[in-house]
Amino acid sequence: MTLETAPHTSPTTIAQLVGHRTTETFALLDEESKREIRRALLHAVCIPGYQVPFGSREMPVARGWGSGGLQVTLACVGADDAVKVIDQGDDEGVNAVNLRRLVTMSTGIDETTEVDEATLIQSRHRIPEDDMNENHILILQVPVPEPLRGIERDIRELARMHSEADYSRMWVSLYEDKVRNGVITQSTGYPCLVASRYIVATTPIPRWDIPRLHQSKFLTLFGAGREKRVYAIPPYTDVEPLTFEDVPFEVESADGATCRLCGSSESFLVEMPGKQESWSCSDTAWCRRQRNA
Amino acid sequence: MSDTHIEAAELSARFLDIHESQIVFRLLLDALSQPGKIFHLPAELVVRIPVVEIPLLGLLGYDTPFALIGADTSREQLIARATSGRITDSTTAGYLGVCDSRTELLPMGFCLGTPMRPDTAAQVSVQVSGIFTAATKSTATLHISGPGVESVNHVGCDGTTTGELEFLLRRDWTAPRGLDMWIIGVDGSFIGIPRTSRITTGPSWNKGVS
Amino acid sequence: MGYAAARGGLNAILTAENLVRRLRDLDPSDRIELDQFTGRLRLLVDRVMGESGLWAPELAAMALRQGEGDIIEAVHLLRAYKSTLGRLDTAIPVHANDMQLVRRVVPAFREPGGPQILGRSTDYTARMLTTTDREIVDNGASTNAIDTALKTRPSNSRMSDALRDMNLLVDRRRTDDPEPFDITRTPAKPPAPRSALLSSMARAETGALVNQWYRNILGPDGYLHEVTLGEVRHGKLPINVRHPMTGGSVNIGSFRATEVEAIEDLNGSEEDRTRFDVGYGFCFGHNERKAIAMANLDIACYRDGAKSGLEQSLLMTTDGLDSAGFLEHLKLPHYVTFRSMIERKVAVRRVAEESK
Repeated sequence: MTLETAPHTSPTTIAQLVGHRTTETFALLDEESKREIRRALLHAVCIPGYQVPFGSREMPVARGWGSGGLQVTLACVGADDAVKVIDQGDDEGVNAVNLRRLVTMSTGIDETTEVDEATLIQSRHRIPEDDMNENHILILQVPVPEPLRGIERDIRELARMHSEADYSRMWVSLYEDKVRNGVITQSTGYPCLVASRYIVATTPIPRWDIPRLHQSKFLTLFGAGREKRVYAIPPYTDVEPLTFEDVPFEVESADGATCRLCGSSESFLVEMPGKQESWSCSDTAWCRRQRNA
Repeated sequence: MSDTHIEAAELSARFLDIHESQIVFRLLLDALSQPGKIFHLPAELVVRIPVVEIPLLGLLGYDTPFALIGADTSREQLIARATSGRITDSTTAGYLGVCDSRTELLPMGFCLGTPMRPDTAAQVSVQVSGIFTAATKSTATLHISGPGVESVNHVGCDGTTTGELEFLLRRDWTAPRGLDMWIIGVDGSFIGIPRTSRITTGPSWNKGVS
Repeated sequence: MGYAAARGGLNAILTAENLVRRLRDLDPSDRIELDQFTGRLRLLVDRVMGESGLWAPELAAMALRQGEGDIIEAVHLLRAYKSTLGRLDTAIPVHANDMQLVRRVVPAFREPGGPQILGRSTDYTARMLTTTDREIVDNGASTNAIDTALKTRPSNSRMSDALRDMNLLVDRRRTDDPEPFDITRTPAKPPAPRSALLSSMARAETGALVNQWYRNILGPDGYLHEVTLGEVRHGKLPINVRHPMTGGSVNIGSFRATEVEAIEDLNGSEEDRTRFDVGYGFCFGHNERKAIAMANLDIACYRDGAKSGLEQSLLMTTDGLDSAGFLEHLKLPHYVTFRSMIERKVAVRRVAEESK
């Protein structure tokens, strides 16, 4: 349904004026809530990497389970969108299925597993292997939006550090990590500097996915429902993983393993514990397409 | 017709239903994340509402502080009634509509946020008398770069004197403070300029644009 | 078995939902009616309403029934339901003195002004489990006394006023009238106005507040000592809104609340040691331990003056849904992160071996 085909439903009588906002529901949330989230997102996009506080609503999924990502998706979604939802790269993960049906049941929109058919992609902890562009919005679920959490617990001090771009202690902690362990041991959720200004928590996406954020063609929105913040990385924005000149940023290595289903070594692989030749692509839709190609 | 009669029709026109507000939001979001790319407000809205008001009508909620600069206060009242937003002055408004872009208030006279809370800066909808057109390097009025732009977006604005866009060159803030803007032509064509955009002017700048 | 890798994720969910519904709703015992919750498990219903921030006894009963008695589950159902409702209006502020009391105790004085009503309380009953099926016990209490106890009474004096008249209370009353902080629209974080702290605690999980109180008394973060209670009240307050046409006040209902004023002994070097100060606790329904903890923590937070992390703990770690949700999210698949962690362990080991 587009604006041309949809009847103009603006109120034309006093009775309709009174009942206007409270009647139709679309995408679970009431209109006021959606507008509030939208205003926060518009600020987020203009201040890349800055965590915008917003009045996070309680959702049918628990805090910590994607309530923020869901709110962002519900605030963005329109009748013409098609949504893909993944968890760990898998469309069939139970939590992804639950989130996806909440979106489709409350909007009637199409769902898909294919990136090139989707317009909104909500994801927990992976960026899809397929290329995305300006027709996509990637919405990442954020468990902990504060990248400096490991080095500072006081909220007031954290706010000061971000406002003054005083990230010196973050650099020190990475240096100490390297000295103690021989490598930087940050696994997923690698801290990155966005637009040369704010350090962000990239969510627990693997290091494998980090380079995809840098100068991307697509917009990425981050929703942290429990901690009540949203942030954004616009397309074509610098996203630099924090590291040192002589310590190159390392993505995960699988020591040459290939996917046992599609044979690829070009995607992020996950393993069965203790079994040889047990690797497979985390991105199940991408893997399936390689097999069918 | 009595005043109440006119007002009811004008008020009714300004209600965006839930699908209209969603469509407007997505356009505004796309415009700010791809600065300088030309977008178009829905024709259905452009024929019934002054274009500068459309972002406000789509975004304002209960008690959102806003102001409409350069128009009769009756229009502010209509926006307030259609959205439950709260009319305030230009320095405290979170969302603004500016009917004449030559106002001295643009761009430094509005709330630019603080280093601690840059998200409290105003987002402003500015109307110009011309229409936006895609441009090449040589025909462009504005060259826009920064986050959201691959290299440079070239934008022409036909029918607008450069005086109307002069305010873009007076942007003088320290990041992360600043003003975010949508600049809207009379036909509903518009561009988004977040505070982070870098703007230089093109060859036709001094000659005015026709 | 990788439940995230299982095909047919939707089938798995539908099966789980079906199991929950079937075993809950088709249990051979009688189905619980809503009035059994509100009538016979009133304290449970009150606690759920308090932690949801929603006064709706019947909905709370439904939520408890659907959640099989799990308080957090019921609170989640209520709060998520609230998210679908538009906000119609803001009630006219009501003064706490408008409370029609069913219970009032004043530990600070033997004979305070105004009534002391023991009311409906188990405080002084013997905690002996009744294993027989007797419902009503005739223990010799006079019917007169019982009838009197059931009547509500207006509250006309409170201890803080009395202390102020005795010139024993620090005066922290404001002369301005700022808008209360709305935690449902704006997340509160330090430094926050007192209204943000109070509303966060009013909606906090009961156990979280009691634990915060106790660990600050006896635990490693011992920053406060016990107050003397000035008021512990339970009663009804009216809900009044402004009529859209006449502008007059219209009563549309009432709710019950618990209110506590805690008297704090000031003994700090920079405090007025000739006077006391007051902390305030307030929550929906009848929940005294929550309101008492809240009152003590309110004054403790003020006296703390941001020296410790108390304000942050109260504002950000006492919400039941946030804490339980984040804790239980650990059950979600984390195999991408774990794969990456294993890879880092191998990398560290490799570097260590290479340097030998």
